[in-house]
Amino acid sequence: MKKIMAVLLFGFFVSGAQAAMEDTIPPQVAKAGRYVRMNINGLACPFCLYGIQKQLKKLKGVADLEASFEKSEATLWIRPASSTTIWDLSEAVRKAGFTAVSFHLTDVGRVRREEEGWIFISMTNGEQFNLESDSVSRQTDEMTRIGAEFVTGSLRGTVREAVKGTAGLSVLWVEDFMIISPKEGVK
Amino acid sequence: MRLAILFNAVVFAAFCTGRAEAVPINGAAALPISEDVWLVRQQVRYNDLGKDRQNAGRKMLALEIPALLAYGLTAEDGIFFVAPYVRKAMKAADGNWRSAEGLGDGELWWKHIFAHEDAPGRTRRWAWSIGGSIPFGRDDATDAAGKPPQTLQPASGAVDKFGGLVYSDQSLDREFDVDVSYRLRSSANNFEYGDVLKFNLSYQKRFRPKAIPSSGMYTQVNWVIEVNGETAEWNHSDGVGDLNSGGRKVFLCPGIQFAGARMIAEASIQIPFLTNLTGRQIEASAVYVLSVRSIW
Repeated sequence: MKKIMAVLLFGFFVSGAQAAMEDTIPPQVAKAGRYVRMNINGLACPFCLYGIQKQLKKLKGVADLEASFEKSEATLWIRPASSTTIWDLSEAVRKAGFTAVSFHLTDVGRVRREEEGWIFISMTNGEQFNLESDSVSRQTDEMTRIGAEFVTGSLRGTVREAVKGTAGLSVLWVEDFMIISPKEGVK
Repeated sequence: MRLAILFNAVVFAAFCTGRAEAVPINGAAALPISEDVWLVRQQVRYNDLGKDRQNAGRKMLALEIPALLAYGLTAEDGIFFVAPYVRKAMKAADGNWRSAEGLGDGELWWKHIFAHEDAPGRTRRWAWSIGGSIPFGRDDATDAAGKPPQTLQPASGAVDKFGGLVYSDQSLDREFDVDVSYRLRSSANNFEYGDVLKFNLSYQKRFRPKAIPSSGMYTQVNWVIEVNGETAEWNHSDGVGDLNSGGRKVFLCPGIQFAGARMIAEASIQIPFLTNLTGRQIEASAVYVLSVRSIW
C-alpha cells in the first residue's frame, strides 16, 4: 500500500515537472494500476474473507488484498492492463456470500468531454465513468478555458453506480482530481 | 480400525493449515458455504453411556469418526456429505461385551440460504436443508458371539430422509446459531429407528483477541456454549415397538474454538442436562468431541 502510494506521489511530482514538456504520462504512474477500497457488509470474522479472496483471485490482475475487519473494508490493487471492472469486484463479493456496498477508487486515466458530460476513462482497463462533483467542475472549467478536449489525470472517488462490462458508463463521485498532463489532448 | 484412525489422522494433518469459519461444534446444519469453496470437517466423538437405569452394570461405548466434505455451488447453495466410521461396544448385564465396527451410513444434504441480511461487521442468514442417508455402511457386522443387536451395528442400512431450518447471526465478537431438524426413518433389516426431532442452540463469544486489529488477519479464540436436544420415537423391530427406546434428551455443551486463518480446531463436552428416556435404556454420562475443520 505504502509503496504504491509512494509510486503514485512520485509520479505526481515527476509528472508535474514534466507536464509542460511531455504529452505522455510518466511511466511510474502508468504502471501503478488502480487501487480499490471496498466496504463490505457481512464481513463478520477473519474466516469470511477466504471466500472473497478466492473469488477475487479468479479475476485478472487483482493483487494485494488487505482487509480491515474493524472498518469492514478490503483494499486491493488491480494491475495495469487488467480487464477487471468495479462490477466484476461487486459480483465476486456477492458470489462469496457478502455485500459490497461502496467502492473507493484511486486511478489514472483520461478525462474527456462527451455529450452527457465529463467522463473518466481508466488507463488500467478502459473502464468508463460519468463524473460528478464540484472538484471536477473546477478542473474541467480550467480545461474548457485552455481549450483542452481531454487531459490525463489521477483521481480518487467513490463509485456511485457500477455497470456491467466496459461498454456502459458507471457513475463516479470524484473527491480529488489532479491533472497530470494538461497539454495532452489540447486541440 | 487402525486404517480408519490413520486415514483420519492424514485428513486432520492435511487440512490443519486451512481457513475455516466459527460455527457450532455439535451440529453441521449451520456450517457456512461460499461459492466454489470446499469445506472439510473431521471429528472424533466418544460417547460414554455409563448410566444404567436398571443398575445391572450395563455399559455402552461408541466411538464415531465422521468426515464431512462440503462444496459451495453458489453463494446460497451448498452440498454436504458426511461418512462416519463407527465402533460400538456394549457390556451386557451378564458381563459379556458385544461389539461391532465399520462404516456408518453416509448422509448427503443440500443447504439453501433463502434470506440474508448484511451490515457492517455483521451478517444474519436463514437457510433450509434437505437430504437423506446413503446406506453404504456396515449393517451386518459380527463378533465372536455372532451378529450383535441392530442398535449396535455401525449402520442401519435404511434410507432416511431429513430436513430442517437454520438461523445464524454473526458479528465480529460473537455468534448465535439455532437449527431445528426432523429425521424421518425408514426400515431395513426388519428394524426401524424411531423418527427424531433435533434442535441445536449455540452461542460463541470471542475472548481473544480482546480488540480486533485495525488491519490484517488475526487468530481468535472463542468460548462456546451449546444446547443440543432431541426427542425420538420408539424403534421398531419386526414391526413391533421397542418399549426401551426413544425419549428425550438435552445436553449442555461447553466448548472452546481456536480459529486460525483457514482452520479451526475445537473441543466440546456434551453433558446430559435433561434426560427422559423410555424404558430401561442406558443413559449417556458424557460425549467428548474433538474437531478440526478447514476451507480451501
